[in-house]
Amino acid sequence: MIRRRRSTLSAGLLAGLLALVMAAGGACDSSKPAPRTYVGIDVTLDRDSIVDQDRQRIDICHLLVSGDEKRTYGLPCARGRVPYDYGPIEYASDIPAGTLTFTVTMKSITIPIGEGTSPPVDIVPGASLRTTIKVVDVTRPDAGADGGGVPDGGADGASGG
Amino acid sequence: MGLVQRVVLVLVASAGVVSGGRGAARAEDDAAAIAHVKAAKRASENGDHGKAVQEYEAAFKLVPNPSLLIALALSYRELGDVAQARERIERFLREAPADHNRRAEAESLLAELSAKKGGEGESEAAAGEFTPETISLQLEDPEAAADDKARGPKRAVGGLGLPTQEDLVAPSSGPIGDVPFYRGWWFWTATAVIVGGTIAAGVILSQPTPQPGRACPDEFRNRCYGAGRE
Repeated sequence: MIRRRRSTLSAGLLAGLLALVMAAGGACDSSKPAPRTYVGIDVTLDRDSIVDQDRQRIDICHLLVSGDEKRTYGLPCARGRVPYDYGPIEYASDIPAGTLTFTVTMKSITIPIGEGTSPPVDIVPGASLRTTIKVVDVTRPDAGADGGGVPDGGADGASGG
Repeated sequence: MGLVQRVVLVLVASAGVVSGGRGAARAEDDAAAIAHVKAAKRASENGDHGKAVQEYEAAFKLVPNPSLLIALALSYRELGDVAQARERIERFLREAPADHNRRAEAESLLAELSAKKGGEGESEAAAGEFTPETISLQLEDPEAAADDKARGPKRAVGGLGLPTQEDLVAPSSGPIGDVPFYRGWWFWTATAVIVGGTIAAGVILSQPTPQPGRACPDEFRNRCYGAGRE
């Protein structure tokens, strides 16, 4: 009788622990990260607002990611060698869902020269998306009114990958 | 199946093997101890208390059940070795759980043995239920036998104070009989191994598996940022 009760308790304990292990295994499966979302960002400088003299002085450039992810990266930016067509950069995100906004800032040492922000980009795990940023002169009174972005250049142009 | 999952399975299986192997060894000890106790009972009934002592000692080495100490004390007493009998009873009182159902019996026996050692000439009959006459009567008295049965498996057989088979089965839960299984070292060791392994596995498995970073396409001229590129 005593032994039977003990074996019943032991079996119950073992079953509980196995359930715990299986639950841990299930947690493992659910902790797998979502496939990455790749966002290609075409960066250009606005020829109408950034005069060539200012463009030549740019020597510090940053990419700021905001929204559901917040990051800051330094971009290659050699003084006198920043073209109006800066070219594309790519950002990879691990988040499974959400919206990201990208901002490029350009300075001469500490003096802001230009800034541009993309339209919000909706994350699509596993996809390669595309957006644009037009960097405009931040010293202009009307600069940034539309974020400097191209109205129709956002995630609408994204292509699934 | 990933490496981590395999590690978890090995941990769980090891714990099972450790506790299972331990259980098998204990079962063998239990069986051998029961055989010794049966032989001791036969020897006692035949009046061969020397042989009974040997068998009880052998059983106690295999299964250190406190009830065996009482049986040993009784056998030593029958041999007239009061000192050994006392030593066994005192050990029982030291080691048996406080709520052991034979503690009162042991204390009574110790009092009897102390009186004998004192050499006060107290007769065995005055010692009450532990005299050979009483034992004989109890063996022959069906009412006494029925009473023993009614008191359950933990009681002595036939009033002799001998451990029953159930008494000897109980120690498989730990070093001393009548100790609940959850007080046995093996229970907590196995529990610690399994719970610790499970927690460790959970912590490890909860870490996100890093994805291999995609190479930066030529189009971006090494200007790639974000996950996998930091």
